[in-house]
Parts: sequence; C-alpha cells; structure tokens
Amino acid sequence: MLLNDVFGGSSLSDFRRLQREMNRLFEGVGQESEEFPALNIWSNNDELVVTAEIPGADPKDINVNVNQDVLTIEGKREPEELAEGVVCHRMERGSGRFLRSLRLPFDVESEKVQARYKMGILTLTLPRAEMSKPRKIAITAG
Amino acid sequence: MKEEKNKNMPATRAGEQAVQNAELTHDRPVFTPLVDIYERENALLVICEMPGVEESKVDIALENDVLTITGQQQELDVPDHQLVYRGYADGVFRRSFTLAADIDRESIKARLTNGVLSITLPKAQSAVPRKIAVEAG
Repeated sequence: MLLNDVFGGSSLSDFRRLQREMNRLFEGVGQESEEFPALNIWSNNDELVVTAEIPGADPKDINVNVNQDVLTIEGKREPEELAEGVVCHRMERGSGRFLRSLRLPFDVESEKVQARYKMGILTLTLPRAEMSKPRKIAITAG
Repeated sequence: MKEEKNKNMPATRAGEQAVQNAELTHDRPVFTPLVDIYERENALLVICEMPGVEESKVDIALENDVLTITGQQQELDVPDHQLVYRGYADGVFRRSFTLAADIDRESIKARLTNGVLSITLPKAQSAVPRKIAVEAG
C-alpha cells in the first residue's frame, strides 16, 4: 500500500522477508527453543556418524530407532532425587523426556546400526544401505 | 583447517554462552555449564553437566571462598569423516561460585558419571548448624 508507493513494488515482500529473518534470529535465544539433544553429524561414502550430547542419562533409558532414512533418538533423564531436608539453590539442568527425529540423506542398514554411550555422549554409526550407494556405470565402446 | 572450521561455526549450546572473564591462553570457546546446587545440613552438593569430558580433564579448585570448576572437552573429530551438520561445538566448561558456608577442604569428593560431575563439599564443623537444647525452668 503506502510502502509500495514509497519504496516500489517489491519492498513489502522484502520487508516481510527481513521480518521473518529477524524472527528466526531470535528464535535461538534462550534454552527453551534449543532442540535437545544437540547433534553433530559426520559422513563419508559408507556411513554416517551422529553424536548427541545427553549428559546424565542412563543408557537403558535411551532408545534409538531407524526406519529406512528416518532416525529417532528418544529417552528420558531422571530428575535428581532429593532427600528430606535438602534445600535447592539452583536448578538449571533439564530432566524428563526428549525426542529428536531427523531424515538422513540416504537409507541405512538398520540391523547394522551401532550405538555407544560414553561420557554423556551418544555416538551412532549408521552404515549406508548398499542399495542407496551410488553405482558406477561402465560404458562400453562400440 | 580444523581451526578455520571452528571460527566459522558459531559455538551455540543450550543455555551456555562463552564467558569473557579469565581468558584461556589457547583459542577454545569457553562454555558455562548447567548446574544444580543443593544444600544439606552438613554438605553442599554441586552437580554440573560436562558431556564429553574425561575424568583427567576436570579441575576443581577452591580458593578462599571461590569454587572454580573447569572441564576440557575432548576435541570433536571422527577420522575419515566430514562434518556435515554442527549442532554443538567443543570447548572448555568453566564456572565459578562464591560459597557462603565454610567448607571442610580435606573431605571434598567429586565423581564424574555419564558426563555429569557431582561434587560434595562437606561443611566445616563450625558451619554445621547446632541444635541448642533449651532448658526449662
């Protein structure tokens, strides 16, 4: 409307884009909106390695599911058990259920997925399915 | 190569920002670890999240009334793989607290389990509250 008149036709959509970007920028502030657990993903031609920071979990309480190319990490962290007469001064650590699901860039061999939990870090090794590996096609002359 | 990667990727971590006080001599991001602090009648309990930190890389110091906890994370690296998505960075966890109660320095105990450091700081005898019996009469 008025913005269009002053700045030309495309400015309103530019402005909206800027607004969206600003919103996205501030979404990450504060830990509530941070997705838990934080993940790093490594890859090569044969497999993916996913590491997740999950401090203070019992390995029994972590479940990893792979369905073709969808990986789901799910579990819970027990809150600290407080004896009677204990006063809490600070409570910043999180507890309770968590779930994170992501689509992998290729299908993986779900039977061969390995999971290890050490020092509060979950490491998953996901071998790439043979079917999804790129195939070289030989070209015959003639 | 590795250093360049670190510089380009923001060191984001839930609830943790790089803190500026007392810089490290080497160039690694410093994170504020998440903690719970509890107080029992005879001890103070500090529970601190330190994922990816080995026992030998934890340093706990009590100087005057200031408790400083430092933990160096293992460097992130998977040999023969390329990092394709980064949700967290590696660095150093560091945090300091001023303790109100007198602590029995000789009996401080610490344990690191599944990336969580638990420190038990027993209070000195003089700081343990004493019950005074009131006599009737």
